[in-house]
Amino acid sequence: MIRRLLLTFMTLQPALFISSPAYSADVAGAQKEGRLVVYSSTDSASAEPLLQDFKSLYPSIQVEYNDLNTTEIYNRFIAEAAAGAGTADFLWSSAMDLQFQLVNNGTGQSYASPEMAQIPKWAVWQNQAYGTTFEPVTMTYNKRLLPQDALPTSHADLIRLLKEKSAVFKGKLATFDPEKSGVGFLLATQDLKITPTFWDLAKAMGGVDVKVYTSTGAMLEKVSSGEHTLAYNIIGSYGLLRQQKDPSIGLIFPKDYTLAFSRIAFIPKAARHPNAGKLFLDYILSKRAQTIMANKSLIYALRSDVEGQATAANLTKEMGKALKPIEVSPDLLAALDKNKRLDFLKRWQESLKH
Amino acid sequence: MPELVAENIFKRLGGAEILREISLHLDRGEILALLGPSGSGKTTLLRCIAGLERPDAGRIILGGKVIFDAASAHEVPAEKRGFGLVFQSYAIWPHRSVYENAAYGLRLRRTGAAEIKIKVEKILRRLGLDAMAARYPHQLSGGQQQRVALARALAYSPPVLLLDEPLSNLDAKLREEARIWIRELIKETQAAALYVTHDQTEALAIADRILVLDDGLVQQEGTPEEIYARPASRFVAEFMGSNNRLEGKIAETKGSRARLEGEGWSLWGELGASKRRGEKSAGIIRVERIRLAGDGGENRLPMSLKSASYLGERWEYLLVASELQIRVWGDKALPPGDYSVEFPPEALWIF
Amino acid sequence: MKLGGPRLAAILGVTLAVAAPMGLLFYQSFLSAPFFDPSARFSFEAYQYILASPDFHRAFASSFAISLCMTIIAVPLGSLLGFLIVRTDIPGRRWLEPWLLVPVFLSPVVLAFGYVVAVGPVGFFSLWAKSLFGTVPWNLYSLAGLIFIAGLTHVPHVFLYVSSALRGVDPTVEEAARVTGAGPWRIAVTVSLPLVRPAILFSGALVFLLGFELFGLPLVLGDPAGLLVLTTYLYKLTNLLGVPSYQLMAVVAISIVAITFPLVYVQRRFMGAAARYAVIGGKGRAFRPLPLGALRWPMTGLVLLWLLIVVVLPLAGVALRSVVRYWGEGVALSEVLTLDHFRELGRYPNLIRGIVNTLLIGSVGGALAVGVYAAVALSAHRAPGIWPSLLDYLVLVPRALPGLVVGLAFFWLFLFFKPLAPLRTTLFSLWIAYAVVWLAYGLKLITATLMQVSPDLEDAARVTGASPGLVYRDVTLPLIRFGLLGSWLLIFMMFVREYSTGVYLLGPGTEVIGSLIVSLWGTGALDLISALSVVEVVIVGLAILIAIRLGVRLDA
Repeated sequence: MIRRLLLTFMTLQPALFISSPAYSADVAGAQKEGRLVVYSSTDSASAEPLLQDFKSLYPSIQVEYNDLNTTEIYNRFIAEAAAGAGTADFLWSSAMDLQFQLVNNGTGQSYASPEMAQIPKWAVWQNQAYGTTFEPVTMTYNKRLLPQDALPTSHADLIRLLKEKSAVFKGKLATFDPEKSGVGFLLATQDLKITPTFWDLAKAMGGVDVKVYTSTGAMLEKVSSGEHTLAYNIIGSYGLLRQQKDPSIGLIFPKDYTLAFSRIAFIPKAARHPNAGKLFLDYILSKRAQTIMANKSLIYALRSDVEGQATAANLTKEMGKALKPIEVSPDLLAALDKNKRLDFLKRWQESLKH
Repeated sequence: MPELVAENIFKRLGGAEILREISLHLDRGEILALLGPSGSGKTTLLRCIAGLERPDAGRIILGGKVIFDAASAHEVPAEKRGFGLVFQSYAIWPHRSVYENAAYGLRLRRTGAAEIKIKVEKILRRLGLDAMAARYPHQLSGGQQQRVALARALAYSPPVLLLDEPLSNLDAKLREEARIWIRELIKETQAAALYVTHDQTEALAIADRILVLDDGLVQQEGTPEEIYARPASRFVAEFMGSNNRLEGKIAETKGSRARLEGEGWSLWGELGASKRRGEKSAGIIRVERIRLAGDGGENRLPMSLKSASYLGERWEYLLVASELQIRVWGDKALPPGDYSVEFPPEALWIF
Repeated sequence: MKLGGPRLAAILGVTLAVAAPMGLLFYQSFLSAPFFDPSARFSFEAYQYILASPDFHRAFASSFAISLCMTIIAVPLGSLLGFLIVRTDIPGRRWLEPWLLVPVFLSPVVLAFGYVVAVGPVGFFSLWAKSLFGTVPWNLYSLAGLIFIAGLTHVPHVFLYVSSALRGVDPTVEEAARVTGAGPWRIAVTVSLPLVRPAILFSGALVFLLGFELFGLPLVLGDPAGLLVLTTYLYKLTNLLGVPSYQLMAVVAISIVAITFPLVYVQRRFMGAAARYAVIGGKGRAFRPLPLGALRWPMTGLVLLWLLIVVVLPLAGVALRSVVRYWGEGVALSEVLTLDHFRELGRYPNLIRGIVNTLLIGSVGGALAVGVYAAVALSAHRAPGIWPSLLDYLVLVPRALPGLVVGLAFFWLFLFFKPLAPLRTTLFSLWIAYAVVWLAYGLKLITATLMQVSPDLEDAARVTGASPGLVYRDVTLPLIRFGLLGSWLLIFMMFVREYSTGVYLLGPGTEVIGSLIVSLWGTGALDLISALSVVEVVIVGLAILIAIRLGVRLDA
């Protein structure tokens, strides 16, 4: 126990001495470490511009970027941490709940990033878990095939259309499978948190024989091909990225409320290169990196002072109060409560069947 | 001291007793034939000696050293026994040339390259394979393959050569020639040889001594002449040569002789086993020992000739008298009719 | 022969390599939390939960049904195909053979996706059918569709073993049947195929187990139909309770292992009976193929139809997807053609590394694996006692387990077993996992070749004075070298397409195509996936062509 406290203290120590935007101190340490190991669910396509830029800033740090899915990140990390083997210096995942749980279990270290001032309060928890993006959750549709009069503008509208035009949507609607997909579960429970009409929506979706998926990619592909014409709860960044190449994809930001989701990053206590991890966190939150996110990676910058295609600022301008960010807070843990989870899934199943 | 001794070899395979307490010895330079019908256990015995099978009981001694002893679980592995073995299938390695097949044993014995060359070339020349040293087995005829197998087994001058039906895959003509030169070759090398065969002619021609095996037991042991001329049992008598069998009862005995009686006939013969009066017995007589004679005389039966078949170097007649039916050899065609047939009593063995 | 040191080491090594991950899973299944979690305690909860879960029963039943139907489809077709190619005068036998194996080396996710593009609800083939009939006459997303495709795509596994065994059968037994008056069909059914029953039984057992391990096909084709199988149920278990529940996954894995044992037992029983009357002769001499007569063209049609369904359709789907920006209902393909996806591949250093690593693990790793398999096969070759039987039971287990679980178990081993830890981040860990997973497959290939070596040839070397090791080096191995080359080629294909097993063992620098495809699938970079798959097919295709030119026989 004493050893553990001591360890905690030792790992916290560097953070205690950093007050001002003391990039320099970190940089020296990070460059001495010379290496940065990242576990991330952000695909290489989006991450590559950021990594290139980071390398150009700090050429002496070798970045080892592991592109994994969210479950893999979690499985790998807990096992490696338990084995006392080397693990990542930076965990960056879109499974907000799993990330938060890892931090809540005390596996992350505190670090007050000098960039914190530029980031909304809701996106940081105890200087440990940092939201890094601001990605709207959209409905994605096929521009060629979905009739204009069947385009929903809000959640309520969607419920109405699914009932009124059930022939149009029969078998043509796709969404996440909350049973198999962590992100799908998170989004669905967030919907429910905002409005109890979610269950009406679930019933309406069941009414048109909705198909459920575990992969955003599969859904986008099938919306594009016309196998489906509308996909519900698609993370906007993926839709936006696809839209660049594929004119058949259209995005809808629901007017009543649009969830905004954020990839959570943290630096594990077990990091072998903590300074490099901190430096990378600073970098990801920096204006420079967020500008790249907004314009090249298209994963929606979180900072309000960034300009570009995919930014929180633009979204806020457009949507105003309708934007509902999913906060980086202990609320996320509710999603992981076993019994609540099973209850929710049971009700979801029943609603689809009804 | 014998070169090779096997004592009370017992071997069971899948529940069946293949060898039941077989013993044999092999003297230096001697050729011993293991002769028996298929299933008699002769190949199993050879493989036990070679070390390819493990006997369940018994002892094997080679050159004075115990190479296998079931009682003390002592076993010298096959590769350390130093036999030469010629397989029935030849088993020459298809991926090695004739030369390399023959040289393998010497290489394993770390013989110098120059010496290998001398020895291999010598044995190949001796076997008439010198022109084919560079060829591969599939480019050889059956007879040549067989000689490669011999060359391979002899190249490293093993003290004991084991041969498992080495001639059975050759055609009749080659086989006859091979009998002679194989014996010469073995004698030249002064190796002792254990020669497994089911062909009595082969055994008679090649061996110094023969061990007749049946049903996992030694039936008789002796020189070729002894085995052929004085069979110890009905099995051996019938297994060797070409025979006539006469089933009957013992009518009377006198010394070593007995009179065998059947329906309408009666003949004197040599008793091969102790028999009492009235006991059912069989008389065995080699075909070549029966003669067609004139009327009257000892141990003769009147029989009628049914047919005469031409066999090339001789004629074979079929004669019958009531239930009796016998074959007799002669040198000319004979017309059907009645003949007097002589059964020399010393040639008719009663078992 | 006695069980000497090296033989014992090889057999024990294999036993350990299979038993260690299995044992870990078994242990995990009786715990209440991850085995490395200090709060973990002994518990039957996981078993209680799984056995009471209706989803498990549903998944198990459908997995069982799929496996069974797959076997029923694949075994007769594969055997027939083997007979046609090896024994009859069916046209184009030589060039047909490499194509028959395409479904084996294509990553199943990609294969399934190829079907979606070709015959999915808006696939190009379906749209064409729709323009003819007014409606699409099939439904890809259905249990029937899944079984149909799974069954047909597993035909090559049966074909491989049956054709290889058939080549060892003395053709005179067929000629005898022919002279007696039997036609080709009757010869196949009453003479040739019964003679290779051990090969048929083994491949049947293998296909049955592969049915339980099926993941890519049910994920892509079954999910939209709400079809749950054991592997997709496992997938669900990683998320159902919020965090991955290893103990539950372990129980499901154990339940699959529990099926393999009776299966191997039954297979061995049948094989034992069959081995008695096998008339396998040495190298078959030249023989005239059986004339098919009136059956010639119908049979050719059958083979071509099968090729169309399992090779042409999915490959065309994938290839098409790799050269268009998007596709589907209402899209004129001529307007969306592009080669950008292939150019894009070059932009991702990890993809390029993945291709290089895949080639490396396929060629070098495959060769090493064949070496290990050969060592094990030789050790068990005429080994006394229970070892051969033990191996029979052991080797099929890892292939029956879903790659996802095996991969995780190996990851844990490399992480928590300290002597192995330094290897974890190297390609070596991946190689071990692959080699263990494909053990049964490779071992069987090599054992089959070993059977063709007459024991006399080995005995001759022993009597001449060679120790067992030298016998292998000088006689056995040189004699089976072509068989080994053939096995290498097949293992190469298996390693190239393997996917889920490696997911946890990868890091930057050790990526392989199969696992990259899984990663890319999650977020939908289908442009890249299809381009990568085309590259994969081209690589394997080239490898096969080169190998055939070099005289390697595919049938081992």
